[in-house]
Amino acid sequence: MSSIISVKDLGYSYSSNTVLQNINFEIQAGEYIALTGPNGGGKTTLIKIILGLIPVNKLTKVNIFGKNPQDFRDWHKIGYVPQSLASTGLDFPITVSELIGNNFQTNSQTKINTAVNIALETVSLLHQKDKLVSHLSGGQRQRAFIARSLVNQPELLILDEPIAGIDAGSQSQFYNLIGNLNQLMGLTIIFVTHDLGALNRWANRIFCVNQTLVIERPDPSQKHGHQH
Amino acid sequence: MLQIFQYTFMQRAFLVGTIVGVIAPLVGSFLVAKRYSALADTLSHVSLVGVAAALVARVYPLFGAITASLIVSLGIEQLQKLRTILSESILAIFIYASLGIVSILVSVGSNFNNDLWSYLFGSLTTVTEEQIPVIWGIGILVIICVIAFYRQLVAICLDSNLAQTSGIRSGIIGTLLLVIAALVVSVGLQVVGGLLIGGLMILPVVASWQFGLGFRSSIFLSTIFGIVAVWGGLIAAFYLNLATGGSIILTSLLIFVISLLVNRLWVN
Repeated sequence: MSSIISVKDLGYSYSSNTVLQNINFEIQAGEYIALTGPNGGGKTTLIKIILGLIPVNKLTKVNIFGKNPQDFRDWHKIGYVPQSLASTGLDFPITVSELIGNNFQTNSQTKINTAVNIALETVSLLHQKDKLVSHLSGGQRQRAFIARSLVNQPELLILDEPIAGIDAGSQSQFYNLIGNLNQLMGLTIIFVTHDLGALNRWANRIFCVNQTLVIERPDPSQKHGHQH
Repeated sequence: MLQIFQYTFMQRAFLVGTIVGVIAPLVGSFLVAKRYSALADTLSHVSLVGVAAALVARVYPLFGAITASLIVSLGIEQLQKLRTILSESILAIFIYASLGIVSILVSVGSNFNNDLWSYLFGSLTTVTEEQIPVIWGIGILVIICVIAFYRQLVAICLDSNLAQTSGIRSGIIGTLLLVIAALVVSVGLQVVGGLLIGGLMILPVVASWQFGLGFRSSIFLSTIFGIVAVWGGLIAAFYLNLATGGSIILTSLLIFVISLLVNRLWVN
């Protein structure tokens, strides 16, 4: 299988604080990675480095779809939901369809509408299409942002602590949704979370980040329906 | 009522006021969405520095306003990248620095206090024929920019990192927003003045948000409110012999209050 993400000898410091050191890993296409670790351990920093949002020196070998993140341009291959964006809501009036359509890179309103409907059907939110995002529940808002990240039919989905602030019932639905995207659609998933218990069922591997990286396997006795 | 349109100076006032009534809330929509409402005030204070400097140098004040606000808008963008100063503190720095500079320029300049006053509170009825194509040109440029970069501007209002991972160069688009805001503030000095242009950029937007519409519809409604505020303010000022800038802003405030009541009574 081809490597979607490759990180070698990654270290990162900010204001004389070491945030990450000696990070090495590869993620293959179709994998479901749970990324966990304590607050301040470097999880979000690692994600931002992979996505090119934090530049690193050129001696560090970070590749995403075979390219340096700073040179990466095929953003339609990646769906990203940043930390706390969905859980805190939006301060301005934007409908669900506007939120999702905003990520679709075309001027054709017909194509936008089609792509938006497909994305909303995937997350079972089509009936809320014309509703303001601020009027949705936490779980619905999260699904709206997932739909936004899916509208370009990406190959990689990165979710940074997406379940914060969502009730337990919605969390369960959310895990099932993401798990199905991985198993049925072959989407590569990186799921940043503190709650490993639920992800034991779905994840291929668990990355524990606390300045350094430890890779673990989920307990096989707790996994169900996993095909890899 | 038609008497008002018989006067050439009022015709010019309506012409200029209409385009500013459109572009102020048009750009203001993105400033409010990004929680940059205070930026309008910052740029208006900076524009006054440009006006004062231009009056001292005896050059066209609008050019001074545009130059100063463009320079500072780019400076704000650079300072925000430092991350060692809070965004709201950056704006406060420029507000108070501008006031300090203006006060010094007033003290060293001579006989331009009346001119500066008109830029503080607006002087829509003194618009000249020569100013109309300049202001309309800037207005059309702003509208074209918003239409051309609408998707990118909305994306940076959602989240800069999210925009970046959608292939949008959020730094450049953020700078574009500051630049068009600077242009709006500069041309707005003539309409409602530096102390009030922020009101015309913010009040119609907040009023439109009371109706539970999507973002695109809210922007359209806010421009309608902006035009109504300008026309209503001009009519009130003409017949009641009031200051045009203040009348426009108070009309805008009235629209906001009515929108708030409509929201409370019918929308919700």
